[in-house]
Amino acid sequence: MKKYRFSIVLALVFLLVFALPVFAQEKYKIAFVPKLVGIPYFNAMEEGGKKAAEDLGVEFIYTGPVTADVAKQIETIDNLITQGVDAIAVAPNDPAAITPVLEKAKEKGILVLTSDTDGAQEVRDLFVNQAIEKEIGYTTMDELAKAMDYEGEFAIVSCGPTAWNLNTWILYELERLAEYPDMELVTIRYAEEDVQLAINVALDLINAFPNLKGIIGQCSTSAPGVAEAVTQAGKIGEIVATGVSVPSMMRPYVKNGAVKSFVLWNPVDLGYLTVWAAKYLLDGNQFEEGIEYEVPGISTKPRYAAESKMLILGPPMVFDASNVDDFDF
Amino acid sequence: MINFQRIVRRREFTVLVLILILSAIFSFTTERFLSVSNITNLLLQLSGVAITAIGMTMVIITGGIDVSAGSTLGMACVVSGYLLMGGYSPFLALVLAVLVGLGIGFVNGAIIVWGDVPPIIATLGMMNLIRALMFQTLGGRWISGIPPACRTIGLGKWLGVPIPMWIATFLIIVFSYFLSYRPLGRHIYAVGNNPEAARVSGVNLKSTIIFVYALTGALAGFAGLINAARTGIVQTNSGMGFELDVIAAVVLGGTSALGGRGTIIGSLLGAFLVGIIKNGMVLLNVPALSEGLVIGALIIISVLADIIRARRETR
Repeated sequence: MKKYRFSIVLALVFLLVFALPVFAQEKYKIAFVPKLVGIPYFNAMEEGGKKAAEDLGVEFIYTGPVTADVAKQIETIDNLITQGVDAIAVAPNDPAAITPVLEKAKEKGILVLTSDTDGAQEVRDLFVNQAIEKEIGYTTMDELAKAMDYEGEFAIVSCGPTAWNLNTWILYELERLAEYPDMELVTIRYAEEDVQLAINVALDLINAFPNLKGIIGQCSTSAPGVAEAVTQAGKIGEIVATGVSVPSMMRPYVKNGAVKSFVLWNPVDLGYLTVWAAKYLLDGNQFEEGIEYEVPGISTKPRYAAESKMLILGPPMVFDASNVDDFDF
Repeated sequence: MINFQRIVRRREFTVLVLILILSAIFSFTTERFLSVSNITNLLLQLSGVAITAIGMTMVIITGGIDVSAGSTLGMACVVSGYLLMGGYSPFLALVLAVLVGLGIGFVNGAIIVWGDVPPIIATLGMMNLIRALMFQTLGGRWISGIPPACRTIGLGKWLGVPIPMWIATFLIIVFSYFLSYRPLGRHIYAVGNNPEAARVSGVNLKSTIIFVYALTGALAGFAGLINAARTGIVQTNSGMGFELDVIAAVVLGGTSALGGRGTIIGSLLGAFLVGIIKNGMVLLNVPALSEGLVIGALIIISVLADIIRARRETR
């Protein structure tokens, strides 16, 4: 019996020594780097990422720059590479400038994803897209047109001038504009990801263009900014604001009439999907064209587009007075 | 007798002429420039910079600089935002916003004077520290929906002029008098011109320097309250880059970056010049990205002009 006992102890020791690290490695480290931290939109994505990490048993790291700054974002990714994470998802502030550091990550064997906005297309393994850009752009333009009664001058207040997603949406908005011959775009201005700057820019625009009837706030910080400007200028009813933003920020302006409707998707689901997709790929799976994936924990069925290596969350959502109270992000 | 030649030679005069020329151009090319709502809007956007520039002018006259003004403004936004949301009186919010700014400014001055740390380093450290603190306090959330009732100080008007501009005007008059005629005001110039001579002639260098930083902090705090009340939204980014607008206004207004020379009125004119250029470019629908080009070029030209003139005078 004594002989056996020694063998059993030995076997247990072996098991501990060799199996433990395997168990430890099992828990993937998945990082998400937003354009900037500290705004409600990315907070919502963080919330979704955290939830996914809990459900899937992975470690989720959320870190990024405090302003929408490319250089700081590159620094953050560099630190994550040093930390030795398994996957990095990023919403790049500049699609080209981010490429070298993502290449470096890939060389180190790290899975590289973009989420929310695309970049480094030839390097990244997957783009987790909230909705097809064309649909977002078209929907935004349609909502504006409807609110403006299909005629008059309008302006766009965008955010980072190099943000790939915003610029692409604008492109499609302009394409859709052809459907509305009586509407005219007078100018495009940029307000960084700064709501107070967006208010100032929009107030200037309201003064500069006396016939202005609509303003699009292209990102989650500029949309409430332009709505506040319309309110402050006393132009509710004359000028309508719309754009892409979160219900929590837009709610007061939907209530006071400065905004009739605006466009978004569910950012909590987007954060969830990002972490889920990273885990899916790290597990050695591949996405296939045209399949609708069942992701437990989110409300849509994402689709995969193989040509652009893109996983699409679902169609964009339109928010108005009827549903703006139903969401807490 | 008024010495016209001396007036014409002054930097403030050049800036004033530039403002008048630009205003004339803008009012001929766009009918909207001189509209009441545009001017009101312009004054509103300027007032925060104008108020903080009072303190910054004094700081730069002493040969220093304060790059933490934007963070200070942001922190004051956060403090006053919370108080206004919590239903406290706007007066309490005002007092606390100013006190927070004063505290930050005092620490800046103390580090510079007692730690012998160069002003740009001390305030750069403070800028990052306060921004991080704001992040901790807000936790990534925004303050929004400040009730309109407590936003009078930012949005209200008296005799058609926005209240923030009245406040700015009042403070500019008081502090211009102080800087020109009170002993402590004169000491500020003395410290900037020749600190050693000032010390020998009995000026308390340390308390003078602490005073200018504390004042700048307090004024940035005041501007923070106005900013929160005006926009109704406080973001972790609030006030980011604001210090650069203030410094640009002061430098364009003729305050020497080397210290010893400058006026508060000059800084106000500098703020007007930047404000009018930005505003005019929107009115003329100049592509947005060339704004920085014009303002950047203007700053460099104006400083160069200063240096060339200084060379001529010494020749």
